[in-house]
Amino acid sequence: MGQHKRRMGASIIGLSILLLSKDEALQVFSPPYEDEIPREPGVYGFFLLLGSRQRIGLLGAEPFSSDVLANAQKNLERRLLKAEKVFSSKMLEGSLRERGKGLSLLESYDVVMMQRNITDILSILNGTDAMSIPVIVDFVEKVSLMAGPVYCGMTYDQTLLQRYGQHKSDFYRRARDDESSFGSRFSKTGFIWDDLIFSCVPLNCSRTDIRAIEKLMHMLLKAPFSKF
Amino acid sequence: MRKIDQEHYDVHHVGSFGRFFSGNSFPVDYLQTSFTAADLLNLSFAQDLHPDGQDFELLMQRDIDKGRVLREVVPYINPSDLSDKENKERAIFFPPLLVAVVPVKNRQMQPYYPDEKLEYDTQILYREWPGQLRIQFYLDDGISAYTQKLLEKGALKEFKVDRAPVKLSIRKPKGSEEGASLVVIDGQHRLAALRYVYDKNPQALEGVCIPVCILFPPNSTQAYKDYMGGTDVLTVHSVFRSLFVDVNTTMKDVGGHFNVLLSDSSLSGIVCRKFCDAILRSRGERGLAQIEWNIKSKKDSTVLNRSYSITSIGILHKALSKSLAGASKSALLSFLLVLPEVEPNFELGDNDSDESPVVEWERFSLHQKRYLEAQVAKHMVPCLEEIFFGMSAYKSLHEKFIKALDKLEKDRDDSANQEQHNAAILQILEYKPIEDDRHHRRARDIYQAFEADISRELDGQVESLVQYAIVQRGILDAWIILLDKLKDLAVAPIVITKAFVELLNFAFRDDGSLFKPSKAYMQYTVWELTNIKPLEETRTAISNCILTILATDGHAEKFTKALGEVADRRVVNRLITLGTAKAGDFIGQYHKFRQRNFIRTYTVDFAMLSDDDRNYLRELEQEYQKQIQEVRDNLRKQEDVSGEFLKQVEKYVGRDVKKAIADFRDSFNYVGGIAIEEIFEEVETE
Repeated sequence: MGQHKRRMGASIIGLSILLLSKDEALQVFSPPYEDEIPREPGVYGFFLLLGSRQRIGLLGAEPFSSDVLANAQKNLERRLLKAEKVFSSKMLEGSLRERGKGLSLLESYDVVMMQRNITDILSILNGTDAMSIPVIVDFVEKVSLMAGPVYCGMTYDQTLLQRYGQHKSDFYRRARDDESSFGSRFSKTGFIWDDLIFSCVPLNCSRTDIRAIEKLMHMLLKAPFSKF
Repeated sequence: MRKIDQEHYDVHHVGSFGRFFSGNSFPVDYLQTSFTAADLLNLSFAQDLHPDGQDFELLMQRDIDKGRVLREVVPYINPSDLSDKENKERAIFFPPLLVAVVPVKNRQMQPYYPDEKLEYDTQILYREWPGQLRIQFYLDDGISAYTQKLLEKGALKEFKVDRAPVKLSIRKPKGSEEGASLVVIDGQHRLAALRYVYDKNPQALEGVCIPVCILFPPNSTQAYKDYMGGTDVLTVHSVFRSLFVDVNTTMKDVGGHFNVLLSDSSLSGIVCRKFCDAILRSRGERGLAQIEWNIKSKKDSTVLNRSYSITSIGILHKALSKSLAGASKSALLSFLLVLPEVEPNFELGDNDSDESPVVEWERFSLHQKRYLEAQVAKHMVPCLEEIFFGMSAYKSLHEKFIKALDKLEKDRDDSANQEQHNAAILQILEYKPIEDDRHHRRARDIYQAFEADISRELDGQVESLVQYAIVQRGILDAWIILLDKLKDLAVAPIVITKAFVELLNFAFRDDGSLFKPSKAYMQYTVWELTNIKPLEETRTAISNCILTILATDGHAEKFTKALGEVADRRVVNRLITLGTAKAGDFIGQYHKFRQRNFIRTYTVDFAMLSDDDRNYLRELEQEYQKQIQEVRDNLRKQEDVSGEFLKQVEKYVGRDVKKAIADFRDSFNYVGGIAIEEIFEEVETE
């Protein structure tokens, strides 16, 4: 099937592809196209599909009944709350000391802080007309790639397709206490594997260069599930 | 002149009265009594019931496993292998048979009893449901008396009675007259065994009194419905159906299809039950008769055993479990059952829970189960019905069956002895096996002729092709692959399924010519000469062939168009890519199977190879096997194994692969790429 691999044409419904150049394009693959992920090394990121009509139960052509729209609104609310948790899941830990006191003072406070988002997604959606849900979810789907990746990484010895498969396998193993892999950590968010969009840039350069590019990605993109 | 009393009732039993209910549940009255072995002849089996509504679960539960009766229950009552001394040293007992009082008219079960009438004096109270049953109580004012509130002239009136002795009288239905049948709802196998022993060896049961509990819902009447202000009152059928399903646990180890149907731990059981229920409701017993659901042998449960069958629970279970089980299929399952419709109910309002409400084929909570049952009935079952009753080949099989059945019924009507035809028809439509005795020899002949006629009519036709279990599994495999490929689209699974059935109709056109053993590419992959290969690989080969069509003649465009406005050119490309990949996979399979077959058979292939060729190949193979053994013994590296034997094999196999590819391309009108072709170009030019 190798010769039929589509290098450039893959996209997810409603999302555009950003083409940098013919050979080094940012390629985007939703799960139906995962077989077409390049069989070569490179850097990659996973994006979260924030919503889609299918995911919230809006099937077929409009108009939708009020029951279907009300159910879809609930699904969208639940989904965006979960997404918000994914993007606001930073935890800080360390010790605090009273300001202005000398270092000889031994008292300090161990703290663990969890990120909280002040904006209330529910209150935003509560104010919208259920009839607008199809428009909103289409928009939410389209901006999924603007939200920044939830994880990014690089491959050198493995191909991008192999690495994708490894993450997927980790996801489905769902080891309860396993925090070591992205797949297992992401599986605890309540999203399914098919909620991830894979994007990558195949790179034909040295391991050192790819590592440097990966570090830059971590620094600049601050993907919440990446371990630096 | 004193009028002679008319005795309407002919079965009488004395015992203790009771009433069972909890809170506001619908009450069930009962009489605990005992029957002699001869009294058992007054009891009927549940399979003799004809309920007022079609109900697959009731049908399923009333099946009697005669083998089990003879194998297990009869020897318990009447062991033939014990000495007289051993027999004396053992005690046996049966729990009470549960017997329902079922109102019957014209041999049909009636929804309600006649309205209850009370008659009483200072000593005796009669409760009577005229023409059906009557109970006689002794009135009692004592402190141990039992108080009943009974409906009289539209109001409740209190009576204090003794719970024992109480006399229950039943009027058995005669011909088409109304009456009440005593139907066993728990203990059918015990009853069958007792009757068998009583028939063969009556002295073994001489003096035996069998415990029996006779049940009836006294409020299943029109008068009670009126009293309740016209609100729905449970029918006799619905009460006994519910009790019947609840108390019957004995079939759990029956095996075969029942292991699937009675399982609640996997979606297989739910899907198969709902599918049968839907077919029974929408197409009646004539539709359900073409679904095999009551095969008890494990071996036979995954193939079709009757010439007129469309499919079987075992085939569905095997195919669906194989394709839908496991965590990695949860997204597909969610799509197929349209779970977003009910997902807000899955989390029980616990929005803070991080636990995902993910449903898997064999992993879901009791809370989720009731929603899943509804989604299965709403979304998955219509898809299965679309495939098995909508695809042209199955539709034609159904029509041929109906035509043959009409003819059988006409023959019955024209026959002097309708009983034999009726027995055959009952076996076909109600799975009530024809008795294995000489009185039913003619019925068995009629049934066998019916099967043989259909078998003859289908021979060599596409209907018989799609009856193969492995072909059905290939069809279901292709269906699920397509659903998986399109599960991100906002389209209902039934829409995809309808488009898929059109694809199937094209694939199996011209009497299934694409799949005939005469096609070069079908040998080794699906057929061995004229025998179908019942292997997992065959299933995949059939699925690959069906999906290949997506890469031919604009079928991807047609398919996409059928999905509506949610699909566009990208979906077309996706389907073409899928079809192209499956074409490559199929030819890859052909190559592998042909190679395997060649290696297995070249030593006796006198038509294709000369003696010298065979001897040369044999020498090469011996050397190859020797070197492989050396690799196993760590005496040689894998890369140092000579490739000459396999190269020579490829030379012969390659010719067949090329022929198969040519036939495949021509038959499917496939012009896409097949990666494997390049290898055999080289082989041919050597």
